[in-house]
Amino acid sequence: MANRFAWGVALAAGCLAGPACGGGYDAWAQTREPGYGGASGAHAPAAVSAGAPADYGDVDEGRYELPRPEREASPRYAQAETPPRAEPTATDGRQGPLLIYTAQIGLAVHQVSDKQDRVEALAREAGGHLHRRTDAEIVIRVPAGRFEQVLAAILEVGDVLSRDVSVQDVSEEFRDVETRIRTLEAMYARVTRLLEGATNVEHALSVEQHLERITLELERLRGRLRFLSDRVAFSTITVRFTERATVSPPRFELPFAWLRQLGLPSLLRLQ
Amino acid sequence: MRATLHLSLGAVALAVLSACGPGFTLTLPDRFVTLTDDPSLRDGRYEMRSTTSDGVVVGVQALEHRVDGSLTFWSEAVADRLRDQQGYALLGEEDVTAASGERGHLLRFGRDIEGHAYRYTVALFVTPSRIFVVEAGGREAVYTALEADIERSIRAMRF
Repeated sequence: MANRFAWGVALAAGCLAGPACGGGYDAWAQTREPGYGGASGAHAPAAVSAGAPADYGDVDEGRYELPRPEREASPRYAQAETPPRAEPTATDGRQGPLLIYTAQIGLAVHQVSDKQDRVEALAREAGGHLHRRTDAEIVIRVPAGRFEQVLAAILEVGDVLSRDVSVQDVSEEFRDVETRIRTLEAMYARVTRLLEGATNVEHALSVEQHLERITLELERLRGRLRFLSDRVAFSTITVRFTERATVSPPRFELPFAWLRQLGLPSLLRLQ
Repeated sequence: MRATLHLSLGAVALAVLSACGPGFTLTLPDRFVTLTDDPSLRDGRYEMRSTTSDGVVVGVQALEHRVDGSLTFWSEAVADRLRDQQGYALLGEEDVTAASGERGHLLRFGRDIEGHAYRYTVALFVTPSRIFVVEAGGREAVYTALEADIERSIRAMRF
Protein backbone atom coordinates (compact mmCIF):
# COMPACT_ATOMS: atom_id res chain seq x y z
CA MET A 1 0.00 0.00 0.00
CA ALA A 2 2.78 2.43 0.91
CA ASN A 3 4.55 1.62 -2.34
CA ARG A 4 1.39 2.34 -4.33
CA PHE A 5 1.09 5.63 -2.55
CA ALA A 6 4.64 6.43 -3.47
CA TRP A 7 3.96 5.61 -7.10
CA GLY A 8 0.86 7.81 -7.05
CA VAL A 9 2.78 10.73 -5.59
CA ALA A 10 5.45 10.30 -8.22
CA LEU A 11 2.89 10.33 -11.00
CA ALA A 12 1.11 13.34 -9.62
CA ALA A 13 4.38 15.15 -9.30
CA GLY A 14 5.12 14.34 -12.88
CA CYS A 15 1.77 15.78 -13.97
CA LEU A 16 2.42 19.03 -12.11
CA ALA A 17 6.03 19.39 -13.12
CA GLY A 18 5.11 20.02 -16.72
CA PRO A 19 7.43 20.07 -19.68
CA ALA A 20 10.32 21.57 -17.75
CA CYS A 21 10.94 18.17 -16.21
CA GLY A 22 10.16 16.25 -19.37
CA GLY A 23 13.28 15.74 -21.40
CA GLY A 24 11.19 13.45 -23.54
CA TYR A 25 9.32 16.36 -25.22
CA ASP A 26 12.25 17.27 -27.40
CA ALA A 27 12.47 13.69 -28.55
CA TRP A 28 8.76 13.72 -29.32
CA ALA A 29 9.17 16.93 -31.26
CA GLN A 30 11.60 15.15 -33.52
CA THR A 31 8.92 12.64 -34.46
CA ARG A 32 6.50 15.24 -35.81
CA GLU A 33 5.65 14.60 -39.40
CA PRO A 34 5.64 17.42 -41.87
CA GLY A 35 2.44 19.29 -41.62
CA TYR A 36 1.81 18.18 -38.06
CA GLY A 37 1.61 21.71 -36.88
CA GLY A 38 -0.96 22.69 -39.47
CA ALA A 39 -0.82 25.85 -41.49
CA SER A 40 -2.84 28.63 -42.87
CA GLY A 41 -2.82 30.61 -46.04
CA ALA A 42 0.37 30.84 -47.98
CA HIS A 43 2.31 28.99 -45.33
CA ALA A 44 0.78 25.63 -46.10
CA PRO A 45 3.41 22.99 -45.41
CA ALA A 46 5.12 21.49 -48.43
CA ALA A 47 4.15 17.97 -47.44
CA VAL A 48 0.48 18.82 -47.78
CA SER A 49 0.60 18.71 -51.50
CA ALA A 50 -1.54 18.00 -54.51
CA GLY A 51 -2.78 14.48 -54.87
CA ALA A 52 -2.13 13.67 -51.23
CA PRO A 53 -5.51 13.36 -49.57
CA ALA A 54 -5.19 13.84 -45.85
CA ASP A 55 -6.60 11.46 -43.29
CA TYR A 56 -9.65 13.40 -42.19
CA GLY A 57 -9.80 13.01 -38.49
CA ASP A 58 -9.00 9.32 -38.21
CA VAL A 59 -6.07 8.37 -36.03
CA ASP A 60 -3.48 6.95 -38.36
CA GLU A 61 -1.81 4.24 -36.38
CA GLY A 62 1.08 3.85 -38.77
CA ARG A 63 2.15 7.48 -38.70
CA TYR A 64 2.38 7.96 -34.99
CA GLU A 65 4.11 5.03 -33.45
CA LEU A 66 4.76 5.66 -29.80
CA PRO A 67 8.08 4.39 -28.52
CA ARG A 68 7.69 1.29 -26.43
CA PRO A 69 8.94 1.12 -22.85
CA GLU A 70 11.98 -0.94 -23.81
CA ARG A 71 13.11 1.77 -26.16
CA GLU A 72 12.32 4.50 -23.74
CA ALA A 73 14.30 2.67 -21.05
CA SER A 74 17.43 2.81 -23.11
CA PRO A 75 19.60 5.81 -22.27
CA ARG A 76 20.59 5.82 -25.89
CA TYR A 77 17.01 6.58 -27.02
CA ALA A 78 17.37 10.32 -26.98
CA GLN A 79 20.40 9.95 -29.23
CA ALA A 80 18.91 7.16 -31.30
CA GLU A 81 17.99 7.68 -34.88
CA THR A 82 15.24 10.20 -35.02
CA PRO A 83 13.32 11.34 -38.03
CA PRO A 84 14.46 14.66 -39.42
CA ARG A 85 12.72 17.60 -37.89
CA ALA A 86 9.44 18.43 -39.56
CA GLU A 87 9.40 21.21 -42.12
CA PRO A 88 8.74 24.49 -40.36
CA THR A 89 5.16 25.61 -40.68
CA ALA A 90 3.29 28.75 -39.85
CA THR A 91 2.14 27.17 -36.63
CA ASP A 92 5.59 26.44 -35.27
CA GLY A 93 6.34 29.98 -34.30
CA ARG A 94 2.70 30.65 -34.59
CA GLN A 95 1.67 34.14 -35.56
CA GLY A 96 -1.88 35.06 -36.33
CA PRO A 97 -5.05 33.03 -36.12
CA LEU A 98 -5.60 29.52 -37.44
CA LEU A 99 -8.65 29.71 -39.65
CA ILE A 100 -10.85 27.07 -41.25
CA TYR A 101 -12.53 28.31 -44.44
CA THR A 102 -15.73 26.66 -45.66
CA ALA A 103 -17.96 27.61 -48.57
CA GLN A 104 -21.31 26.31 -49.79
CA ILE A 105 -22.39 27.31 -53.27
CA GLY A 106 -25.76 26.65 -54.89
CA LEU A 107 -25.68 26.52 -58.68
CA ALA A 108 -28.62 26.21 -61.04
CA VAL A 109 -29.46 22.71 -62.21
CA HIS A 110 -28.07 22.84 -65.71
CA GLN A 111 -25.33 20.75 -67.32
CA VAL A 112 -24.61 19.38 -63.89
CA SER A 113 -22.18 16.68 -64.89
CA ASP A 114 -20.07 19.02 -67.00
CA LYS A 115 -20.00 21.60 -64.25
CA GLN A 116 -19.01 19.04 -61.67
CA ASP A 117 -16.15 17.99 -63.94
CA ARG A 118 -15.08 21.62 -64.13
CA VAL A 119 -15.21 22.06 -60.36
CA GLU A 120 -13.16 18.94 -59.85
CA ALA A 121 -10.61 20.17 -62.40
CA LEU A 122 -10.40 23.51 -60.58
CA ALA A 123 -9.62 21.67 -57.38
CA ARG A 124 -6.82 19.64 -58.96
CA GLU A 125 -5.34 22.66 -60.73
CA ALA A 126 -5.13 24.40 -57.37
CA GLY A 127 -3.37 21.49 -55.73
CA GLY A 128 -6.47 20.15 -54.07
CA HIS A 129 -8.62 17.10 -54.57
CA LEU A 130 -12.12 15.70 -54.80
CA HIS A 131 -13.66 14.75 -51.47
CA ARG A 132 -17.13 13.59 -52.49
CA ARG A 133 -19.32 13.64 -55.58
CA THR A 134 -22.97 12.70 -56.04
CA ASP A 135 -25.54 13.48 -58.70
CA ALA A 136 -26.50 16.75 -57.05
CA GLU A 137 -23.41 17.74 -55.07
CA ILE A 138 -19.65 17.89 -55.27
CA VAL A 139 -17.29 18.59 -52.38
CA ILE A 140 -13.67 19.57 -52.95
CA ARG A 141 -10.72 20.37 -50.68
CA VAL A 142 -8.25 23.01 -51.79
CA PRO A 143 -5.16 24.51 -50.14
CA ALA A 144 -6.23 27.36 -47.90
CA GLY A 145 -4.05 29.79 -49.81
CA ARG A 146 -6.00 29.04 -53.00
CA PHE A 147 -9.47 29.15 -51.45
CA GLU A 148 -10.49 32.56 -52.69
CA GLN A 149 -9.11 31.93 -56.16
CA VAL A 150 -10.94 28.62 -56.56
CA LEU A 151 -14.12 30.05 -55.10
CA ALA A 152 -14.07 32.92 -57.60
CA ALA A 153 -13.56 30.45 -60.44
CA ILE A 154 -16.47 28.28 -59.28
CA LEU A 155 -18.76 31.31 -59.24
CA GLU A 156 -18.07 31.61 -62.97
CA VAL A 157 -18.93 27.99 -63.71
CA GLY A 158 -22.69 28.42 -63.66
CA ASP A 159 -25.65 30.48 -62.57
CA VAL A 160 -25.13 31.06 -58.83
CA LEU A 161 -28.34 30.77 -56.82
CA SER A 162 -26.81 30.94 -53.35
CA ARG A 163 -23.48 31.27 -51.59
CA ASP A 164 -22.39 30.91 -47.99
CA VAL A 165 -18.81 31.42 -46.84
CA SER A 166 -17.81 30.86 -43.23
CA VAL A 167 -14.56 31.20 -41.31
CA GLN A 168 -13.89 29.41 -38.03
CA ASP A 169 -11.04 30.49 -35.76
CA VAL A 170 -9.60 27.37 -34.14
CA SER A 171 -6.46 28.99 -32.76
CA GLU A 172 -7.45 28.62 -29.14
CA GLU A 173 -8.49 25.00 -29.50
CA PHE A 174 -5.35 24.17 -31.47
CA ARG A 175 -3.02 25.66 -28.87
CA ASP A 176 -4.95 24.03 -26.06
CA VAL A 177 -4.64 20.61 -27.67
CA GLU A 178 -0.95 21.18 -28.35
CA THR A 179 -0.38 22.10 -24.73
CA ARG A 180 -2.19 19.04 -23.52
CA ILE A 181 -0.16 16.86 -25.87
CA ARG A 182 3.11 18.29 -24.62
CA THR A 183 2.02 17.71 -21.06
CA LEU A 184 1.07 14.13 -21.74
CA GLU A 185 4.23 13.46 -23.70
CA ALA A 186 6.30 14.66 -20.80
CA MET A 187 4.23 12.59 -18.45
CA TYR A 188 4.70 9.55 -20.66
CA ALA A 189 8.44 9.98 -20.55
CA ARG A 190 8.49 10.30 -16.80
CA VAL A 191 6.22 7.35 -16.25
CA THR A 192 8.31 5.26 -18.59
CA ARG A 193 11.39 6.05 -16.51
CA LEU A 194 9.42 5.01 -13.48
CA LEU A 195 8.78 1.72 -15.22
CA GLU A 196 12.50 1.27 -15.56
CA GLY A 197 12.80 1.48 -11.84
CA ALA A 198 9.95 -0.89 -11.10
CA THR A 199 11.07 -3.37 -8.51
CA ASN A 200 8.41 -5.99 -8.98
CA VAL A 201 5.77 -7.18 -11.39
CA GLU A 202 2.94 -5.49 -9.49
CA HIS A 203 4.56 -2.07 -9.75
CA ALA A 204 5.40 -2.64 -13.40
CA LEU A 205 1.80 -3.59 -14.21
CA SER A 206 0.49 -0.52 -12.41
CA VAL A 207 2.78 1.73 -14.38
CA GLU A 208 1.88 -0.04 -17.62
CA GLN A 209 -1.79 0.71 -16.97
CA HIS A 210 -0.98 4.39 -16.51
CA LEU A 211 1.05 4.34 -19.69
CA GLU A 212 -1.84 2.80 -21.57
CA ARG A 213 -4.24 5.52 -20.44
CA ILE A 214 -1.75 8.20 -21.37
CA THR A 215 -1.22 6.59 -24.75
CA LEU A 216 -4.92 6.46 -25.53
CA GLU A 217 -5.38 10.10 -24.59
CA LEU A 218 -2.33 11.11 -26.60
CA GLU A 219 -3.63 9.31 -29.66
CA ARG A 220 -7.01 10.96 -29.32
CA LEU A 221 -5.47 14.40 -28.98
CA ARG A 222 -3.08 13.86 -31.85
CA GLY A 223 -5.97 12.75 -34.00
CA ARG A 224 -7.78 15.94 -33.14
CA LEU A 225 -4.70 17.99 -33.92
CA ARG A 226 -4.30 16.27 -37.27
CA PHE A 227 -7.94 16.96 -38.04
CA LEU A 228 -7.61 20.64 -37.21
CA SER A 229 -4.35 20.92 -39.10
CA ASP A 230 -5.93 19.35 -42.14
CA ARG A 231 -8.96 21.61 -41.97
CA VAL A 232 -6.74 24.68 -41.63
CA ALA A 233 -4.43 23.60 -44.44
CA PHE A 234 -7.21 22.55 -46.80
CA SER A 235 -10.44 24.52 -47.17
CA THR A 236 -13.73 22.81 -48.04
CA ILE A 237 -16.00 23.96 -50.85
CA THR A 238 -19.38 22.31 -51.40
CA VAL A 239 -21.23 22.94 -54.66
CA ARG A 240 -24.88 21.87 -54.78
CA PHE A 241 -27.05 21.68 -57.86
CA THR A 242 -30.58 21.95 -56.60
CA GLU A 243 -33.66 24.08 -56.54
CA ARG A 244 -33.37 26.77 -53.95
CA ALA A 245 -36.70 25.77 -52.43
CA THR A 246 -35.20 22.51 -51.30
CA VAL A 247 -32.33 24.28 -49.57
CA SER A 248 -34.15 26.96 -47.65
CA PRO A 249 -37.73 27.96 -46.91
CA PRO A 250 -39.60 29.13 -50.03
CA ARG A 251 -39.37 32.79 -50.74
CA PHE A 252 -42.27 35.12 -51.19
CA GLU A 253 -44.47 34.00 -54.09
CA LEU A 254 -46.53 36.27 -56.31
CA PRO A 255 -50.23 35.39 -56.49
CA PHE A 256 -50.30 34.60 -60.21
CA ALA A 257 -51.04 31.02 -61.14
CA TRP A 258 -49.49 31.26 -64.58
CA LEU A 259 -46.12 32.10 -63.00
CA ARG A 260 -46.20 28.94 -60.91
CA GLN A 261 -47.11 26.89 -63.97
CA LEU A 262 -44.17 28.13 -66.03
CA GLY A 263 -41.49 25.62 -66.85
CA LEU A 264 -40.45 22.79 -69.12
CA PRO A 265 -42.70 20.06 -67.65
CA SER A 266 -45.87 22.02 -68.47
CA LEU A 267 -44.66 23.10 -71.90
CA LEU A 268 -43.41 19.69 -72.97
CA ARG A 269 -46.32 17.66 -71.61
CA LEU A 270 -48.34 17.19 -74.78
CA GLN A 271 -50.42 14.25 -73.67
CA MET B 1 -65.10 35.98 -83.78
CA ARG B 2 -62.17 33.88 -84.06
CA ALA B 3 -60.58 32.41 -87.12
CA THR B 4 -57.74 29.93 -87.03
CA LEU B 5 -55.50 29.55 -90.07
CA HIS B 6 -53.50 26.34 -90.29
CA LEU B 7 -50.91 25.76 -93.03
CA SER B 8 -49.78 22.12 -93.14
CA LEU B 9 -47.00 22.46 -95.77
CA GLY B 10 -44.07 24.82 -95.74
CA ALA B 11 -44.06 27.44 -93.08
CA VAL B 12 -46.48 27.05 -90.24
CA ALA B 13 -48.18 30.27 -89.38
CA LEU B 14 -50.75 30.91 -86.77
CA ALA B 15 -52.96 33.93 -86.62
CA VAL B 16 -55.52 34.10 -83.88
CA LEU B 17 -57.68 37.11 -84.45
CA SER B 18 -60.31 38.28 -82.14
CA ALA B 19 -62.09 41.50 -81.68
CA CYS B 20 -62.21 41.12 -77.95
CA GLY B 21 -59.83 38.23 -77.11
CA PRO B 22 -56.12 37.61 -77.44
CA GLY B 23 -54.60 38.12 -80.86
CA PHE B 24 -51.19 37.39 -82.27
CA THR B 25 -49.40 36.02 -85.29
CA LEU B 26 -46.50 33.63 -84.92
CA THR B 27 -44.73 32.02 -87.86
CA LEU B 28 -42.54 29.07 -86.99
CA PRO B 29 -40.07 27.06 -89.09
CA ASP B 30 -41.56 24.27 -91.18
CA ARG B 31 -40.32 21.59 -88.82
CA PHE B 32 -43.12 22.51 -86.44
CA VAL B 33 -46.66 21.18 -86.46
CA THR B 34 -49.45 22.96 -84.64
CA LEU B 35 -51.51 21.19 -82.01
CA THR B 36 -54.11 23.90 -81.49
CA ASP B 37 -56.80 22.37 -83.65
CA ASP B 38 -56.84 19.02 -81.92
CA PRO B 39 -58.92 19.37 -78.75
CA SER B 40 -57.25 16.35 -77.18
CA LEU B 41 -53.90 18.06 -77.48
CA ARG B 42 -54.94 21.44 -76.26
CA ASP B 43 -53.94 22.72 -72.93
CA GLY B 44 -56.36 25.21 -71.44
CA ARG B 45 -53.57 27.61 -70.67
CA TYR B 46 -52.10 27.82 -74.15
CA GLU B 47 -53.64 29.63 -77.05
CA MET B 48 -51.38 27.54 -79.26
CA ARG B 49 -48.65 24.98 -79.08
CA SER B 50 -46.45 23.64 -81.81
CA THR B 51 -43.90 20.87 -81.72
CA THR B 52 -41.22 19.28 -83.83
CA SER B 53 -40.94 15.54 -84.19
CA ASP B 54 -37.98 15.49 -81.76
CA GLY B 55 -39.67 17.35 -78.96
CA VAL B 56 -38.93 21.06 -79.37
CA VAL B 57 -42.14 22.77 -78.30
CA VAL B 58 -43.30 26.37 -78.65
CA GLY B 59 -46.36 27.63 -76.81
CA VAL B 60 -48.08 30.99 -76.42
CA GLN B 61 -50.29 32.15 -73.58
CA ALA B 62 -52.36 35.29 -73.78
CA LEU B 63 -53.24 36.48 -70.30
CA GLU B 64 -55.56 39.23 -69.32
CA HIS B 65 -53.69 42.10 -67.80
CA ARG B 66 -55.43 42.15 -64.40
CA VAL B 67 -52.78 44.17 -62.62
CA ASP B 68 -50.76 47.10 -63.85
CA GLY B 69 -47.47 45.27 -64.14
CA SER B 70 -44.75 46.59 -66.40
CA LEU B 71 -42.57 44.54 -68.71
CA THR B 72 -39.76 44.92 -66.17
CA PHE B 73 -41.98 43.64 -63.36
CA TRP B 74 -43.06 40.53 -65.24
CA SER B 75 -39.56 39.83 -66.54
CA GLU B 76 -38.15 39.92 -63.02
CA ALA B 77 -41.03 37.80 -61.72
CA VAL B 78 -40.40 35.14 -64.36
CA ALA B 79 -36.64 35.13 -63.78
CA ASP B 80 -37.00 34.95 -59.99
CA ARG B 81 -39.56 32.18 -60.21
CA LEU B 82 -37.55 29.99 -62.54
CA ARG B 83 -34.12 30.61 -61.03
CA ASP B 84 -34.75 30.83 -57.33
CA GLN B 85 -37.67 28.45 -57.04
CA GLN B 86 -37.00 25.91 -59.75
CA GLY B 87 -33.23 25.93 -60.18
CA TYR B 88 -33.15 27.10 -63.79
CA ALA B 89 -29.89 28.64 -64.95
CA LEU B 90 -30.35 32.08 -66.51
CA LEU B 91 -28.08 31.93 -69.52
CA GLY B 92 -28.90 35.30 -71.00
CA GLU B 93 -31.58 37.90 -71.60
CA GLU B 94 -32.25 40.78 -73.91
CA ASP B 95 -34.90 43.24 -74.96
CA VAL B 96 -36.76 42.38 -78.13
CA THR B 97 -39.23 44.23 -80.32
CA ALA B 98 -42.10 42.56 -82.13
CA ALA B 99 -42.71 43.25 -85.81
CA SER B 100 -45.81 45.20 -84.81
CA GLY B 101 -43.70 47.42 -82.54
CA GLU B 102 -44.50 46.06 -79.08
CA ARG B 103 -41.56 45.97 -76.69
CA GLY B 104 -40.73 42.62 -75.17
CA HIS B 105 -38.09 40.84 -73.13
CA LEU B 106 -36.53 37.47 -73.86
CA LEU B 107 -34.92 35.21 -71.25
CA ARG B 108 -32.89 32.11 -72.00
CA PHE B 109 -32.67 29.35 -69.43
CA GLY B 110 -31.05 25.97 -69.04
CA ARG B 111 -32.16 23.13 -66.79
CA ASP B 112 -31.21 19.52 -66.33
CA ILE B 113 -34.10 17.07 -66.15
CA GLU B 114 -33.24 13.54 -65.12
CA GLY B 115 -29.63 14.05 -66.05
CA HIS B 116 -30.27 15.56 -69.48
CA ALA B 117 -29.64 19.20 -70.31
CA TYR B 118 -32.61 21.17 -71.62
CA ARG B 119 -33.03 24.69 -72.90
CA TYR B 120 -36.02 26.89 -72.13
CA THR B 121 -36.77 30.33 -73.52
CA VAL B 122 -39.44 32.72 -72.32
CA ALA B 123 -40.38 35.89 -74.21
CA LEU B 124 -42.78 38.41 -72.69
CA PHE B 125 -44.77 41.08 -74.47
CA VAL B 126 -46.97 43.40 -72.45
CA THR B 127 -49.78 45.29 -74.14
CA PRO B 128 -52.34 47.52 -72.41
CA SER B 129 -54.80 44.61 -72.15
CA ARG B 130 -52.74 41.44 -72.43
CA ILE B 131 -49.54 39.74 -71.31
CA PHE B 132 -48.25 37.44 -74.04
CA VAL B 133 -45.99 34.69 -72.75
CA VAL B 134 -44.09 32.80 -75.44
CA GLU B 135 -42.33 29.67 -74.28
CA ALA B 136 -39.95 27.46 -76.23
CA GLY B 137 -38.06 24.45 -74.97
CA GLY B 138 -36.57 21.06 -75.61
CA ARG B 139 -33.49 18.89 -75.18
CA GLU B 140 -30.45 21.07 -75.52
CA ALA B 141 -28.90 19.12 -78.37
CA VAL B 142 -31.94 19.59 -80.63
CA TYR B 143 -33.08 22.96 -79.31
CA THR B 144 -29.84 24.79 -80.01
CA ALA B 145 -30.13 23.83 -83.68
CA LEU B 146 -33.48 25.63 -83.87
CA GLU B 147 -32.80 28.40 -81.36
CA ALA B 148 -31.94 31.12 -83.87
CA ASP B 149 -35.01 30.32 -85.99
CA ILE B 150 -37.30 30.30 -82.96
CA GLU B 151 -36.04 33.66 -81.74
CA ARG B 152 -36.36 35.07 -85.22
CA SER B 153 -39.99 33.92 -85.24
CA ILE B 154 -40.60 35.57 -81.87
CA ARG B 155 -39.24 38.88 -83.13
CA ALA B 156 -41.52 38.56 -86.14
CA MET B 157 -44.66 38.27 -84.03
CA ARG B 158 -47.53 40.64 -84.54
CA PHE B 159 -50.15 41.57 -81.97
